[in-house]
Amino acid sequence: MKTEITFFVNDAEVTAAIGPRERLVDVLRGALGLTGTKEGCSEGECGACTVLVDGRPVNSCLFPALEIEGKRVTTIEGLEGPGAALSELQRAFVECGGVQCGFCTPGMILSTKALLEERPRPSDQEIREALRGNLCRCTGYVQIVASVKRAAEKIAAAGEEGDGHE
Amino acid sequence: MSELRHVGTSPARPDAADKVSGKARYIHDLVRPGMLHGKIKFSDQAHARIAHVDTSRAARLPGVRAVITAYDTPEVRIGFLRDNFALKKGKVRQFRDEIAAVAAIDPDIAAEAVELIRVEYEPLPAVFTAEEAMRDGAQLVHEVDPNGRPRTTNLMPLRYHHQAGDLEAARRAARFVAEGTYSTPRIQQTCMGTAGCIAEFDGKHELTIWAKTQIPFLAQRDFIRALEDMGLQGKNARVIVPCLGGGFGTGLDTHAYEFIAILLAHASGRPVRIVYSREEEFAFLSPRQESTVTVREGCDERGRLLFREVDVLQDNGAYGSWGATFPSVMMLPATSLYRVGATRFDAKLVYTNNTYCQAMRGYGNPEVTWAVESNLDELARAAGIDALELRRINCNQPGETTPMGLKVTTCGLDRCLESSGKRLAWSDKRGKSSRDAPGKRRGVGLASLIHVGGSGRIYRSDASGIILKLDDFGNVNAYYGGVEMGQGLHSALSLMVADALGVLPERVIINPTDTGTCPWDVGTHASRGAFMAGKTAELAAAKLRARIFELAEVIFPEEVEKSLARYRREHPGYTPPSFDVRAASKRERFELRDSVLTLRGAPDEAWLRLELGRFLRAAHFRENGEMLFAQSFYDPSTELPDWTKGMGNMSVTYAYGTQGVEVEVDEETGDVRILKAVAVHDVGRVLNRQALEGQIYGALVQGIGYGMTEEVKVRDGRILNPGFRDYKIPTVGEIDFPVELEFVETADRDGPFGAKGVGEPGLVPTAPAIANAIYDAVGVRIHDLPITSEKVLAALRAKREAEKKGA
Amino acid sequence: MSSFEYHRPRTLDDAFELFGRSPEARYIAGGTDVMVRLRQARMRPSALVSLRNIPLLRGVEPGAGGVLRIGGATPLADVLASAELRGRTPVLAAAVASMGSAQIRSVATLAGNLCNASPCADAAPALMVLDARARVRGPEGAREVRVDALFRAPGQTTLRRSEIVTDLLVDVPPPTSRGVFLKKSRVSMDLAIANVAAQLDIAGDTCRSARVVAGAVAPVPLRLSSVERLLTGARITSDLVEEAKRLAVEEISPISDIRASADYRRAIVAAYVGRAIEACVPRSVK
Repeated sequence: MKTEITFFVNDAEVTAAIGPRERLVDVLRGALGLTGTKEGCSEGECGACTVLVDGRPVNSCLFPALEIEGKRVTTIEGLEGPGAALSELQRAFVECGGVQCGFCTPGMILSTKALLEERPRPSDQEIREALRGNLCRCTGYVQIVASVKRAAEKIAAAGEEGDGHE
Repeated sequence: MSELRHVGTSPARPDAADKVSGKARYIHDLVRPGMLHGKIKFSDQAHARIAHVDTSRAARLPGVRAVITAYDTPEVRIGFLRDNFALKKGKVRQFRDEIAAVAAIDPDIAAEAVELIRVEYEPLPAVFTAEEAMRDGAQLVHEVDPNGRPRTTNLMPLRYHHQAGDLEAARRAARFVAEGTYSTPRIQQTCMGTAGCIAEFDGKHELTIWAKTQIPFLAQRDFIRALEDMGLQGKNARVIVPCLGGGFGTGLDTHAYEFIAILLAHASGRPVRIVYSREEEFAFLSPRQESTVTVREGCDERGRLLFREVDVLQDNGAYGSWGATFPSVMMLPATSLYRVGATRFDAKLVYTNNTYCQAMRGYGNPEVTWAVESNLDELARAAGIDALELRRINCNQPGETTPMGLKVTTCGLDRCLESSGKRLAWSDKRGKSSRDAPGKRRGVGLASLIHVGGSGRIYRSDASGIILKLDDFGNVNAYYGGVEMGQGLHSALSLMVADALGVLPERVIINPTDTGTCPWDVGTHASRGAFMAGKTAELAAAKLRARIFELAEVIFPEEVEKSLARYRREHPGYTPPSFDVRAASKRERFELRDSVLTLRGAPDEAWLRLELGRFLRAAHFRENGEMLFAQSFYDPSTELPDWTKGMGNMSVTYAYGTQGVEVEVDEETGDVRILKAVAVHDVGRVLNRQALEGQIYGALVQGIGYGMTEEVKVRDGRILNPGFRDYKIPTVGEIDFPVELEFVETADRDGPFGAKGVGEPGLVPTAPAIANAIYDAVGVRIHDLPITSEKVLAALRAKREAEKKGA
Repeated sequence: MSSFEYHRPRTLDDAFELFGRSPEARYIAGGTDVMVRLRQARMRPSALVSLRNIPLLRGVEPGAGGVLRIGGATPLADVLASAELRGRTPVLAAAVASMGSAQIRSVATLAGNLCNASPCADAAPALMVLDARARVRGPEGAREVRVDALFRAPGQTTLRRSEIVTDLLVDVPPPTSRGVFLKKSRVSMDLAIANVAAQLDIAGDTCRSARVVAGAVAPVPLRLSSVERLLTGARITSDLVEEAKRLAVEEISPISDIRASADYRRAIVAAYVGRAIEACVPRSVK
């Protein structure tokens, strides 16, 4: 028995018919065709499915889709600007070697976005705590941490210059 | 070849923009029209006869479009030993044997249908250790060989043996000897993107398969053979490799699930996708081969290594895959890590009813290096020689030939050792077991590696090829059969094509890896990706440059004259310098750099430059017009070793390195904290520093997992920890110490731009470096990976007990 | 494939009513345990009644008489965000910070952690050393239960099926009391192999009151009463600490499982009890 619910995805209002067993990751990847969010383990252990709900990072594989009613979801597709311009955060990952196979990347970037919004200048320890729920098998994390720090610098600099786009 | 303008820099990877924006499409994201979802029924017995398979209820479930078993499909034999089958008939030999499969309109229905398949078994006695399996009268895992002849043993029909030098004399002459047995567990590769494929037949019964593979062409051969088994003689299999969520060796073999997808696609007449969930990946995909290694080394009174003997026992599991070829690579550290007078290597592989094993990064090298480098510290202790000094005394040197016949060209190992020692403050810290806080002791340790650096010949051909096709716009379309799995192959390829040809890297388009378009490639293994891409790019680019410069003799002056005419119209009063362009336009005087053709020695005028796109259009749109493309196919001059003799120069060059760590051991809990890690690697040449660092960091952290936290736990054939909850890989939280990297550039003449392959070395010496540091700190040695705090504490307690008794 | 209904009531009464309609109904809050069990088919409910949309069940507030009230369905991230809680009950803050990951803590709840009743639940030892009480409500009425008394056996609480934990009531310890939470795990995102919480009120070098709890080393999170009795009223000396460690090891009954052996768990509890006591001794005394 599906229920029609309305919510927001990347600032756009969406209405979808959702069944009781569906998880948020199913709705995003299935009905909405937003395959940027990956499913890595289905148990909330790897973080590949991380999206932001009302700004908070969640494992979309554990999030009952019906609970998304009225809430605002941010997926990786929502970060770029007009003309597919990469955000400062995305560019930092590109520039600092934070991307290898890329499967963990959308989740990693969204966890980083949530971190930087709460802590614009995180310490290394804060970065590690914020990202411990995002597993990566390729990079060994060093360049990911470097990417997060570069993103923090760039976002702070863009903020100072009054650059509206993140 | 053009000069190096981009090789050596760290530009952004060409695939990164797609990956950070969610546009990269992995197997999990691909959809084909009419696609069905496949799911497999796996055995729930370790060893049993299949009495009966009933699929009738599954077939009746609405939404199911095909149900197959070995009993209603042609037999498809798989595996390099031909001892495995896509679907099992008669008996099951391991918990993950594939008995039946379903294709349905959605994954939930497919899963439900699988639940409705009933299998009746007659259990058989099972063997779960190599020792058990080797005993007289042990139950046979395979009762007949692939030719139907009865087997009498669970020992696999593979012989690995090496012996060189006068072993007897060396044993007698040795003043100090150390010996030990070391083990490594099964390890899960845990690619973040799980295994999967989509199989689709067209109207002519030709197959296209999107596969998570590192060997598209070998896979093509396997799939064509399967098509023949299915009665589809003469039909093609086209293998396309989409964006991969990691490889690490999981894609070096073809897997039953791929053949099952093909069988389902054929049975249903529709494309079929099979994708493993994480739990299926852990439970049903072959993990890394486990090993038990006994090593014995002896040296003279001055520390020179006189002999090394290595014996390996492998519990292979139920079928043969690349775990069974680990001993070939194991011979490298066994015979050639440091200079050793006499060497012997033997390996025994045994079929059991455990899960069968496949390749993973390092491919046997980490397994034997774990034993050899742990044992070498023991030998140093016995001989009273500093462990770093002992290694330097026996360091490999450029120009030598090792006991297995490896021809060492460049070798930066001594520098790696020396630098690692300095970075660890070895002389200050080693042997001090220093206390920085009550109950905690610190120590340092290191270990080295040798690995193939110029590909590794493990098949009859070790070739790769490339096609470079220039278009009317100055783009270079590259078709290369190697696989990008995150290691940065495409990035390296675009840089090397750019520099070899003389174009801007942005103009190099790396086309998808596709057997339909790319030249044959043996596969992306043995750290050969960038190495072979570079070699083939150099060769093909040289041909293109030759043709471009040849054509330019006519085209350059023509086009430049037009440019001059326009320039004069735009700049009235301009007087060009006197320079006879036509006379100067000789092929040997042209230069192509950053996609612009110029003449050496010509005046520096804007109109005296010809943009490559314009040149190409001029070459195309004329009488007897020409499109420029070139190919190369390179098979290095190396030998396929005879593994029963263990001799052969299997690579063009060899990579070396040393890693070291400083640790702090908590004596009350056994916790081992890494305070600092250093990795000094002889890479020949740094092609892309950031990508190289990424490879080493990534491999080193896998080495930490291998050394300290990871283990596939198996009991009676069943995997007990099929998930991240209890199979622990390092998180970012574990990497809370500085990691220092240093690259030694030995500029190997055989490598592209002097480079050596580096995909695997970063994983090889990490575990023994950690074990050696722990010994330095607290005097205990763990022989069985992973080194958990529990094992360290137990060893510390045993040591205290022994000291009390001894005192 | 079993199907079920998913209800999102806004009031407790609606929740009880919906729960009562379905014989095999289960509650779900953050879902980080329930969703996993559903997927593994270890749970086949006829209905799920979500507690996420009942405002009454959320919030962290100081109440009268130095009591902190934490709504049972408050996401852990909100628990951690409370400066009041971090400042006054650091043992609980430390336990919550050790749980899962940022993603898990965005939705997981304290009540969920307790009602899942795993012996290794991280919230339990911390709440128990704070003498926390759970306010429990069901269709038949409300009651208060000490958190100590919530656990019956691994995976089983003492609650009735239809009851939920609406709030946790925590007495804010006096300023002289210190709390420590230690968790042994394999990597930084992990379940506990063993966890130890201690809340000790030490004046001078004499311990006025002691609460010490160990988790993952018995069928339920365990008050180490013998340790507490030893410490109460005693002068903290290194001999006493050694004795406390010895008693702790005797009191627990760890098992060997896929994560660790019983012996190792004993060693960790001993080490952590010692370290927790030492960490609670005011610096001036050391």
